[in-house]
Amino acid sequence: MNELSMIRALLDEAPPSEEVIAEGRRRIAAGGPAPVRLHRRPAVRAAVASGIAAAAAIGVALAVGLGGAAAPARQAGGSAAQARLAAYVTKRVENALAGQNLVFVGRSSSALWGNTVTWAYGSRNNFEEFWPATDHRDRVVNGKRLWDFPPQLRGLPYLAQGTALAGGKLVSAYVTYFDRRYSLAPLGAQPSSACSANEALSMGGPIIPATRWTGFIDATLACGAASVTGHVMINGVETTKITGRPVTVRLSPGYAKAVHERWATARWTLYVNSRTYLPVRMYGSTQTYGGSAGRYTSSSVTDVQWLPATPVNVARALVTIPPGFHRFYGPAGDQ
Amino acid sequence: VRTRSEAGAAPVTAVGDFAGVYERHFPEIHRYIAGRLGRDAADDIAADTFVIALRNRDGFDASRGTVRAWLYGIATNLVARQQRAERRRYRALARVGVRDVADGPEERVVSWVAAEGLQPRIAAALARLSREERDVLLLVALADFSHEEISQALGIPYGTVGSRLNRARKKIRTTLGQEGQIDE
Repeated sequence: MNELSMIRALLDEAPPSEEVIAEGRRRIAAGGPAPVRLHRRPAVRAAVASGIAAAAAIGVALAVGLGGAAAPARQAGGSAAQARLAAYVTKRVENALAGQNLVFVGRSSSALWGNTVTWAYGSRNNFEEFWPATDHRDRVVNGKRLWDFPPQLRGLPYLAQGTALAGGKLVSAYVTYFDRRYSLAPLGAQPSSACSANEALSMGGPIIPATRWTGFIDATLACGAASVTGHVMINGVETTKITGRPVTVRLSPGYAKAVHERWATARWTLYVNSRTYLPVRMYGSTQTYGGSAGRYTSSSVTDVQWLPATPVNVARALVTIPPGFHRFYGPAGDQ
Repeated sequence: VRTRSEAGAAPVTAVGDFAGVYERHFPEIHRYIAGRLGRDAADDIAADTFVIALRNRDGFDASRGTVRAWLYGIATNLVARQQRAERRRYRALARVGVRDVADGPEERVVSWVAAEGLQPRIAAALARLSREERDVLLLVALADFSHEEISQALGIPYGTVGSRLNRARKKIRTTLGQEGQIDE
């Protein structure tokens, strides 16, 4: 036994986690220590007067990622074979959608987000979010519960966002039920690149992209942001498993302070019907860690149905403004 | 199995090569920095080490040492900027109790150190070393570097490595009051 062994024993630390290694890769790819700034999603739950947790807020913000500053784009890494596969998949999805005229319905459940339902048809979409049906008081920081809301809200709608018809034109709409307000705005720019870190973050939550599957699958496979990782039977249907590359970002100072964490990592796996290549199920998760609150993972499972385009189903793909709600003037969701 | 020296000898000629350098060496560089500054600081500084290395890769000269030594040199320079934090870490280690250990060779050492009540004294002794002495000593203790590799990493003469290391070890032993009782 010598002093070098003692020093080693005293100072030895565990190897870095995969998330830390991944963040280092990202920083090298970005050419330097440029932290990604995640903008808060408009009207995140943290704004709710009922005192919902900041941790929930960040989860929602990360999951949706709308309106956020663009994260550094993932470096293209796709091979020619992946590009060919992507083109093949894209064609199959386009054929399936064109031939069957279907309405997308995605239902997700999550301890963090509660339940969500997404309806989409063509350029129309309607994402509805509900308070959890049960109270998930499973995380306490500094003696304060991070998931707490009045019991009478359980299972009720929380918000809706998507498109609505105003004066015969399709506009962007955002409805918050807790304060009975809504806003309308012209349809915004296209979402961020499917290969961006922002998009990967958005996939860490319930399905939002809805009808963009063709381009999304195409782009993520081609750029290496996702790869085909196997085949799985789901409800008797053979599916192709597509796994996105995990993305880790450093939380912006405000978020980091709010949730007592420093990092967030988003992961997603998509299962598509091997015959039609239509999505069947998606797992998304976002983990925050590196601070005093302790590592925490919020995950969601979205099951997808494709329904006939009946008038009733198509109507569900539009946000409905409930009577008596007050209009908030500003960009949709910018509250 | 690829040895450390083989991996360390790999040239850095392109960004593509650099990705391999990162994959091979990031964990050990992180561990080295974590040993000196703690894991939280290591997350940032280890990444900074590789960002700096990438930016300066054209300045890497294989004739003057291995990639591994080069990276440790950058990391050691970055750690040197955090001297106060490093000393704080040692003082904290001197105050805290025994870390949880499981069975295993390294853990037995921890148990031994703890049993003898030497942990606070080792930590305190590390805090009192000069930066130059600590750099040399910890490259040996944490990275298992030879004198030659330390010379490459820090850009100091071979003889200086030996004298600094001897001085550092002597100070540690004196602090421990165990001179003559430690196995070599």
